[in-house]
Amino acid sequence: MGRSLTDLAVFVAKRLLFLIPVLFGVIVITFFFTHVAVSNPCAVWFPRAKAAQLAQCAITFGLHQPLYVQFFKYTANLIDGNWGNSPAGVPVLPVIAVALPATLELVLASLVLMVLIGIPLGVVAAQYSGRLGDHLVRIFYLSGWATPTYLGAVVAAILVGPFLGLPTGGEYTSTPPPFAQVTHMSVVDALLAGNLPWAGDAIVHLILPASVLAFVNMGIATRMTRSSMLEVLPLDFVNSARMKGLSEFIVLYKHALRNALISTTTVLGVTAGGLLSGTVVVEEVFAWPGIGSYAFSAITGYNFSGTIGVVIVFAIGVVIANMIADILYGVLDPRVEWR
Amino acid sequence: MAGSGRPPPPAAPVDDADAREPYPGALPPARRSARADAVAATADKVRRGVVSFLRILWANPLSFVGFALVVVIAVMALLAVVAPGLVLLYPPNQLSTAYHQAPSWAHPLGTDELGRDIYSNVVAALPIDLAIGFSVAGISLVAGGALGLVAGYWDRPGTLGGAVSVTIMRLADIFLSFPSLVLALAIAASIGRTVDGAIVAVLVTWWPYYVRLARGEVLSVKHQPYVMAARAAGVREGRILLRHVLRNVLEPLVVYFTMDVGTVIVVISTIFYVVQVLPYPSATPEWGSMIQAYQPFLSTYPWMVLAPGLAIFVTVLAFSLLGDGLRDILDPRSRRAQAEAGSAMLVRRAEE
Amino acid sequence: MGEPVLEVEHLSIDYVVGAGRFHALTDVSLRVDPGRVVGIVGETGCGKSTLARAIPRLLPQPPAEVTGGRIRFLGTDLLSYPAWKLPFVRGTGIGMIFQEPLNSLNPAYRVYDQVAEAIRIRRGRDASPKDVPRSRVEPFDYSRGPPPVSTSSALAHPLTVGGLAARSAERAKSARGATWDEALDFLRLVRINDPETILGLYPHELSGGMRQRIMIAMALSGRPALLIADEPTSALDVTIQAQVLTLMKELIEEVRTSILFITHDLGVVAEMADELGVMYAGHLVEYGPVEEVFHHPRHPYTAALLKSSPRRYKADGALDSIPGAVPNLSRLPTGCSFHPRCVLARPECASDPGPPLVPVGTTPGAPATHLSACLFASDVEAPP
Repeated sequence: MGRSLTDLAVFVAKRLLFLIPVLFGVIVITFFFTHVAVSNPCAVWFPRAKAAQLAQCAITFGLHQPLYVQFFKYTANLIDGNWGNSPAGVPVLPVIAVALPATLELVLASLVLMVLIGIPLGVVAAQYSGRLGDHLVRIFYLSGWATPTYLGAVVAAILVGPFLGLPTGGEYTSTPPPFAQVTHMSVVDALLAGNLPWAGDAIVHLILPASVLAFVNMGIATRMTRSSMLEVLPLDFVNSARMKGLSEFIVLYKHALRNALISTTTVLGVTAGGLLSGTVVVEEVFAWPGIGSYAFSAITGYNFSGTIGVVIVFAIGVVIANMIADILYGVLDPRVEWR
Repeated sequence: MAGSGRPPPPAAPVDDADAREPYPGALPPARRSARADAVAATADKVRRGVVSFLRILWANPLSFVGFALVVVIAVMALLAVVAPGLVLLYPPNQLSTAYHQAPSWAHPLGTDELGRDIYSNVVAALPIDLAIGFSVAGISLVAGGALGLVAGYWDRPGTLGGAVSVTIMRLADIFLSFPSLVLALAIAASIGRTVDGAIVAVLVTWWPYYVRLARGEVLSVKHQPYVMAARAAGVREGRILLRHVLRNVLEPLVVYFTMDVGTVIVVISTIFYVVQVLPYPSATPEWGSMIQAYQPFLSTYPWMVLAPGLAIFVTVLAFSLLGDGLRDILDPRSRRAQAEAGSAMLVRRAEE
Repeated sequence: MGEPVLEVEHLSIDYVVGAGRFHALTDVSLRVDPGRVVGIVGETGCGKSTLARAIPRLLPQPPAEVTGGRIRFLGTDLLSYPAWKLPFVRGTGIGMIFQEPLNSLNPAYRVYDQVAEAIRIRRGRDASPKDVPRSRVEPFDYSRGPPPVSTSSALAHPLTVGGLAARSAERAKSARGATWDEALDFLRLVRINDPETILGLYPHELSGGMRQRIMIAMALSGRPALLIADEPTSALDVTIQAQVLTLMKELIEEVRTSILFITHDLGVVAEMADELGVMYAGHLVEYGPVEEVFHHPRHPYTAALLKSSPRRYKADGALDSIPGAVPNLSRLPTGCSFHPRCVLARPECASDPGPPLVPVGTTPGAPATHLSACLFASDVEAPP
């Protein structure tokens, strides 16, 4: 175990292997809540159906078979890529595959905002610890914490957006764009087509939803940066950096923050969960064509295959985000060995 | 690191000292006065505890504001259940012809499209959101905390405890890899769209955080000298766990719980907002459902959405301010950091 | 002698913590002349570290509060110096070595990056001098003869994340070759064998003594007019301590920079310093040439310190100690702070705070620079 590239490869491979038990757990849990916890799921799926229809439904979905058979089929279908259809007969997996990049784009955009705003705020709070600046930062990030995502999204879309003249729905002002959507990421597609006006339009459309997501999830990163900065600042190397004649800005943001960030990366996984969850409401409110809005319509529209599919994709997303956080941690801290 | 900064455990409670003297009446006067001293010391300790709690809060004005808000909110919630007449202006959901009134003295938060007083409905919704917040966070605290305690304390590989510990942690890890809100939404949607279903859905996704937190704290406490000293003195393991480990783990858990009540309220109201468990207007108004129902009026009559929105915001903010402040003060790492940011030696002197 | 490098005049510093106020420094005056080494000795908590950090204005305010006095560095008053210009004084004007070698190097950066940073800052200031106090004479000549040509090979670095970075560092070397070579020189200056390897390592891969050597090299690479060493050896193992002390002694001979050397170890000061100040409870109680203070202490605290020095065992092996404990800085005794522990204390000591440092010319031929703050300085007897 060390810090060589082969060690890193082994580390990544191990973490990817950990995906298997997690995914199995995800399948068991979703199976449990869709097939075991409720006697006849059809009754939940179709609340207004009559008894005969329910029985017919149970047979259609194989619900009359023993649980282990159902579980086997359920698992086999998922592995097979047959993630079922929506009630309207639309297959789940292709829809998710098209929607995923849009969500990824939104989440990455808000992550960038969080890093660019949330982390410096944590530094400022630590710098003015116990004084006005600290209190203001604390009020700011706790306000984000205390705002339910749907409230923030609705207020931003209906009050803030029109006030600032920012678009509040969709990826572009008009659809479809005059170029092929290769990656299904609005900004990337426009850039690939070399269409700068459309790229600008796409960025403007990203601002509000990404800001809402970032504002609501910023607290964890800011708080962690603040407390680890408070731990780092009294250490002598900060003073020895000052005593080289470096400016206070370089001392704080190059020497102290570099070490404080090591702790901040550990909460990235938690943040990823929050961001992904947040997309469900934010994408719905801002008409963003990602898996978040798909999840919203699946959950409210009794589309069970779709709901399960989205939950599984989100779980994979969180595991991968945690893995990236671990790798980042190792890269930032030279004392860490890949294990 | 974190463990070494933890303050030593509080001294044994004074009632133990009493228990060691089985026949207080038979004691000579001198001993009796010693006992009186012990009682006085207890009173003094309690007084000092209260004073130091208030001083801690006072040292951080924001957490004091949070504390005051939490008290006000709790009292209002209690009154809304026990004596609604005292805090509600109108019975919940009472219709009138005063449609879409802007906030006024008669209707502090305005009225909606059916002439209902929004203030009364918002306050009437307080008990249910608060109760769910407390119960979900509380059950998670007890169940997750207990599992984490066990997983952290008996974790030697190759033993039964080690196997149990690994199982608990693997299970918790799997649950932690779900974005909790999405899983809760999915569960709430699949096991039936009822209030109970929503609570179960949140609970299922909530306990693992406490497992991880409790385990981490136990791991940092259990190798402390005082635990080893207790073991060397022949104290039974169960007793060490409850008396020495639990007591030192409880503080961070409870602080986390304080913040968590607010987080649960956000999540549960999101479920109500998305899944329409209690479609508004229902017998018990609920904030998330109210926002969902009033949303179309946001641009024309903004107070209709902002009133329940502000209610959630203030409630969650209150718990967060309190918990955040407490965590900052009680967290030995940041306390040490603050001490050293001043002058380590001098602050330590001041504490003596 | 010329203009002094550092003059501290009547410096008083309080810490304000909550409602409490502690007098960390009270009326401290001292002066460091060019090329001289001034030692400050005192027990833990006597304010010597506060003094060390106050001079380059490293003390966070609050809780620290300067209640009086001046700090003049090369004629400029540092206390009234604008905060944004302070970085221009540090590094090239005042360098500092800290106590904890574990913490005084940034764990996230390679040794080279940290040393090079200091070298580049000095280069930048050499190239475009600012209107800030710097040494007007070249303070020292660090290199004894031309440095050997560095021969580092890419093969020295295996295929690791660190190795890749080290190799890219070497590729960039051609661009910053001068900096790399100078960093090597400074590492050789502090007697580090194989500096090429050491420059590519992280602090956690080095021993405490090695880190302290690098800390010294880093401080010297700014070529400061004044070097403040704040207990540079206290945190090291005894054997390493001896090595680092030997190194410092040799460096003092070589670099001829002015040094303020802070320690709790009288023996260290005896070997290093030209002048010696003794601190007690925030006061400078005695000040003078090292020989004078050692052989003719004129303050009972100094005498007691000398007596309790671990090198002076009595015949029965017992160690003399000073009765009582260091006073709490928030509740200093009235009068002379030392009187509750003083063997010479008389009633007036409890009320009269004693003179400020005054010359004690009792010994014939004693220099007028020997100062004491004791009312009864002439009664103090040197330990046998």
